[in-house]
Amino acid sequence: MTVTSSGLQPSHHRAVLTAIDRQQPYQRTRPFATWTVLALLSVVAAVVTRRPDVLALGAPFLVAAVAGLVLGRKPELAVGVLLGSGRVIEGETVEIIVELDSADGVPRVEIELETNEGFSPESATRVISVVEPGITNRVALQLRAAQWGIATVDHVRVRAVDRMGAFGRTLDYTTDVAVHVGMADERVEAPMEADRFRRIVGSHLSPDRGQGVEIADIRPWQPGDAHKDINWRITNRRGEPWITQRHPDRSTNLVVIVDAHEGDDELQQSTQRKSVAAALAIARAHLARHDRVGLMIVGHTVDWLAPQLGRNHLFAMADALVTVSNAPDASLRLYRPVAVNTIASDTIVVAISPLFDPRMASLLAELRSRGNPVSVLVPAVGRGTSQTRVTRRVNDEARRLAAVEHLAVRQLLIDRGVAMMDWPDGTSVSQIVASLQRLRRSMQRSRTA
Amino acid sequence: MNQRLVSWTLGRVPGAAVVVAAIACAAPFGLAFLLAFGAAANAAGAVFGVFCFAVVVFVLGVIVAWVPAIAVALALYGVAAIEATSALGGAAQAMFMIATGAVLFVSFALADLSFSLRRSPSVSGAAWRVALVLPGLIVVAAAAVMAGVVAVATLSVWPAIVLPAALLVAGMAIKFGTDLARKHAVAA
Repeated sequence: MTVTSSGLQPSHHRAVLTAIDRQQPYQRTRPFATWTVLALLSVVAAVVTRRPDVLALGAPFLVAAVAGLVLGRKPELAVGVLLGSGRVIEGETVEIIVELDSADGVPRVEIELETNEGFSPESATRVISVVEPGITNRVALQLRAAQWGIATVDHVRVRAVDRMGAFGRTLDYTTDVAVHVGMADERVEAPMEADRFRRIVGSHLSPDRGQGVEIADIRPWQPGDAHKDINWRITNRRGEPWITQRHPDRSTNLVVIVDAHEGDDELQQSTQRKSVAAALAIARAHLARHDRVGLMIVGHTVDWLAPQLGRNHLFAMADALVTVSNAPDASLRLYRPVAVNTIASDTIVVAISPLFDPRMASLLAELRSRGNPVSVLVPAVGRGTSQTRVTRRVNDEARRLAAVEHLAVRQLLIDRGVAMMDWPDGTSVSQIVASLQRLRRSMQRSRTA
Repeated sequence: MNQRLVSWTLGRVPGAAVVVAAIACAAPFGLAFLLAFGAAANAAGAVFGVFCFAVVVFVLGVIVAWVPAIAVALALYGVAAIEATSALGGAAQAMFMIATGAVLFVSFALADLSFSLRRSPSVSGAAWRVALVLPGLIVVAAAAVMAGVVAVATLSVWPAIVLPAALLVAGMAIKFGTDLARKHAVAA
């Protein structure tokens, strides 16, 4: 629980503490008031009953009150908070160190941390300790990153009580401790297949003919063909030069759109979690194949990360997706996002949205109308509930109307060629992405047929 | 090492707050039983009734962590104890009162400690030591003070005047001495 100076790691960084209002001065504690009252009562009782021995009943209380007044000190106390790590994965432990310093020493200090739901205590979040004079006392508290999102330590409350317990004060601080809690990796084996490609070498198999590994076809040699493409086995058999044609390996662009609808409700939090898990998994799979991946989070505000390559970009996307968990309750969506104009027409668009908001459907319809291959994963919201985001006060008629609107939105997108896949509870990200792949392939086949 | 051992051992006790609160409630109840049936010469039933009522108020005060209720319960204990020992006389009466005062104070201190132990805090060994030793020291000091009072009360007239005055002078000297020492310490 208590750590020494040598226990501090270089990675520990100091949090900013802000005192709430004015810090209250030392005040008499409740026990002190009780001691005084009971001591006085015993004196009165002794006088009334004319029995001096009754004084003995209140003697300890009298001694405690007098000792509290005479021996009580009001020591100053400096408080600091150090954070072990600012980024962790769900389930990992974060160390918060509360640093206490007093020149005179404090005989009893009660420390309490108040956190949001992102943390669950690994050990106690209340500590009672002692601060020796002139020695910095560092108290380590272990908190488990319970759920994905931003886990915060909202308050640090320190109560200092003097030697006799007669006077005490409470120091209440807000902190800027915020830990980004990421999700554990969820791998997607097969990324989205592209319709069109960048002229950059990648891992996607283009249907075009060019330099690659995969054999596409064979044909007779023509002037201009490279000698290294000659297929010697066929040439010997046919008596004339034939060449092998190959599919080139190309990379593509992909943009993931995440609908950060309000998340104060438990079911919606579960939907958000699925959305973010899918977005990260798809982005990771494509970045691993040298595709450029962009991210658009549409919610209270619009976060846009333009398509880029590399591992750092994946981390940037993970950071941006963590903020989805703290989306404000009020819906002030900003449609139409200006960044939509920068999405090239050959970019694969994968949206993860419950499609409750018609404006999200309009956004996807616009992208599809510009020629982008658009796929939508629709996470299920709750079990046995109508898939409408309506308040409890709205009557059943309104619920039915909202359900009809929802169906109409879905049908509009399907008619425009958007691949739409419902995501039931209990289905993993890799399973649902594989299902979406199959759906897109069948749609491509039906278009070419 | 000993402190760590004590802290580790007490930390393993399930619900230290519950254990401390139970001791705080049980001590005055035992005392009430002793006084009502051991020391009370008359009206044992009525005295025991007041004790029981005080126990109920005390337990409720501990459960809801409301100090005024505990103070009321202690006052009721005091009233019942006065009545229970009324038939006794001399040193026995004083001894019973000193013991009752000590038990009530320790119970109050433990009840107050149980409030701090709620929500399962981690308590360092030094904090346990301060919390448990301090009430004991106060009880001993109070017993010494009462012994002094009783001694003075049993003296003849002249020493009975001189001794309290001497104690007062000694007390004042200690007070001024500590104040002076504190001032020097601040100036340094």
